[in-house]
Amino acid sequence: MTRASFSRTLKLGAISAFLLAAFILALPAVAPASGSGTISSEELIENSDRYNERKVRYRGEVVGDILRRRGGYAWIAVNDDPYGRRPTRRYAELKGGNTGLGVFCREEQLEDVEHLGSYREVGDLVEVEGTFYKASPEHGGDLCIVADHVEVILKGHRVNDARYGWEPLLAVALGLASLLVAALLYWQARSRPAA
Amino acid sequence: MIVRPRRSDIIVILRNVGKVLLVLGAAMLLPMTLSLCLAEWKPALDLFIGALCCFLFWGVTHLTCNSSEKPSWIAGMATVALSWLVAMILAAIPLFLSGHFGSFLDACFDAMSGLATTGLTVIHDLDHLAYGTNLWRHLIMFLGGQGIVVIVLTFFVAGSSGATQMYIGEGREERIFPNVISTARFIWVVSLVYFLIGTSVIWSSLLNAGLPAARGLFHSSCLFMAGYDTGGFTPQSQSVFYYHSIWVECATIMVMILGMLNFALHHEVWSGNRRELYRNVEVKTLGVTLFATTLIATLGLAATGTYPGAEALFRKGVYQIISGHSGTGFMTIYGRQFVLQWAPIVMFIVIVAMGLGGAACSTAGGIKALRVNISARAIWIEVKKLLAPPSAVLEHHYHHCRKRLITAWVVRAVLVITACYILAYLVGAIVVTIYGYPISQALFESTSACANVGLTCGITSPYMPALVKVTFIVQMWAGRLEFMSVFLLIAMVIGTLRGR
Repeated sequence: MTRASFSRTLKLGAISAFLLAAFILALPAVAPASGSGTISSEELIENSDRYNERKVRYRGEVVGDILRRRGGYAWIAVNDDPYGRRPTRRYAELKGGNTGLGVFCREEQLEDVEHLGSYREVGDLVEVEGTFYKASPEHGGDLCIVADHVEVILKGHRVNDARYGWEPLLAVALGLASLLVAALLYWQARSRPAA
Repeated sequence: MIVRPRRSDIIVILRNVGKVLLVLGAAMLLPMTLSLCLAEWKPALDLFIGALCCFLFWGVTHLTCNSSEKPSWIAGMATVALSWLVAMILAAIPLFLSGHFGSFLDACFDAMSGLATTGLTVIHDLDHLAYGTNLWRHLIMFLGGQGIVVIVLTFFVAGSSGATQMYIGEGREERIFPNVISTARFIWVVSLVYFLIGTSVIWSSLLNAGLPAARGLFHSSCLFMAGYDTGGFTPQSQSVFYYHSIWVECATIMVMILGMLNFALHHEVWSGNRRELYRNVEVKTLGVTLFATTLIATLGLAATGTYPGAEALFRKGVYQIISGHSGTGFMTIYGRQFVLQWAPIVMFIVIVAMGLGGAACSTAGGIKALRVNISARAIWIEVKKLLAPPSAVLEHHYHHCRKRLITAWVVRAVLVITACYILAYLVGAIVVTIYGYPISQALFESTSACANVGLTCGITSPYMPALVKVTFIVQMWAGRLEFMSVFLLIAMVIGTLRGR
């Protein structure tokens, strides 16, 4: 490596380092409240004073129903527990509680939402950008996010019925035992002298 | 001295427990049918296994425990306590097989919470639960709220020897009719009529909230069963907060208040005696305690600026107080908000409201309005005795469907049960604090469990220690049965072990 090319490389490195440092320093001003990516419902509930009326980015599975309201608005429940991607009955993993938040948005923002989390479906994974309220004055004091933007980032899908383990065998065994007891009860009733 | 139970007592107890389980097994067929209709094959199989276990238990007890003897007083009471324990274990089978519980203890926790109409839950991934299993959770709440022994009394007239002991053992001292079987049947008629009315009202409010008709019907049935039986389970993990609707909240308030009133009062009103509503001591007491707790909580929340405006104060503050006082446990806030946003005094008022509970002979838990009133009067009577001349004879009455005399025996019975509740609230709180939880949160959760309420400030979760889960199960069981039948069962077991 010549001296000139070494000096050029050094300059390039210095400029890159400066730009990277400037980007990192400027990040809190433009990024959502969590600092980098999305924020969890637990973090929002535990620190509701801190995040109150601030812009947040929140990600989770749409579960249950789209509650359509007058004026073209709607409520959705967005869960950010691990079950959004790995439903209990399919993966037999118990990894979290039941955590989520209510999101208030315009109906047209939900046009792409097709799958709602339920026994039969894994719901769409959405990313919500909006304002977090610890007690929204517009919505009867609800702790919620009023969405500016809702984006489906991963489509949900239908899931099969839960997996069978040893339950069919147990059912057969119990059924046979019940038949035996029923036969004995019948025999006992017949052998008892009439009143 | 603890008397050892006779062999015939044990036979009668097991035979009657078998009858309770026969009803429980038959009840499992309803959610199983729903699961079959919706092609939820695995949940249907889980419920079928649960039903078979119940039928098998009944069959074996029916085969081996032949007795036409009338049970003794202690055996009648012990039957109830044992029935509830065995029912918890068998009701937990379909829940455990669903795969949504970390252990069988967790499934038992939810089963007892349902039967005792508490509403605390340690389920995982509720929002992906099958319809059939979800209906079962709510149905056990409905059965437990009416009283599983009441069901047996309703359907097994011929086998109702010791009916009175069993009826009283389930935490109901009042007989609306001279015959407890007629009383049990009346309780069911009232509940089924209210089921039709209440479900319709909640359904219409859910349709207004934006739920599709079929889902709305399922949710309204579940919410009615949980609300009227002052239970607190809900079909979705976010409780009543899920619907974001003031109309749903108003409809559930109506159902909760119906559930917290005495069945004897319902009977009087149904019979045309509407004046009883204004004269009844329990209505007056509930009016005073509900008004006082609501006022203090609302003022506290308003003073600290927790909620903006009157609507928010009503939907969060007033709703939670009614939910706690009635022993229901529906929530319009997240549990942690009690701790993080509500002032300590307001949280304390919620604990007081939960501890007081609803009316006697209702589906509500807690100390009960009648006992609160008589306890307060007893203090007043003692003060008056001190002030009156020694020769004065003082007589005190209260009006509950008719004029009743407050005797020393009544006061003693009331104070014993009240003391049991307060002691149980404190003991539960001490157990929870051992694991490092703050005393205020521990007392909140312990009172909620023992008074069969179901509000949580965040302690109840699948990850809480096993000893806390067991403590809450015992509290829910003993609190629902009002202690005496549980004490008698324990005495009976000790008597058997000591062999005297």
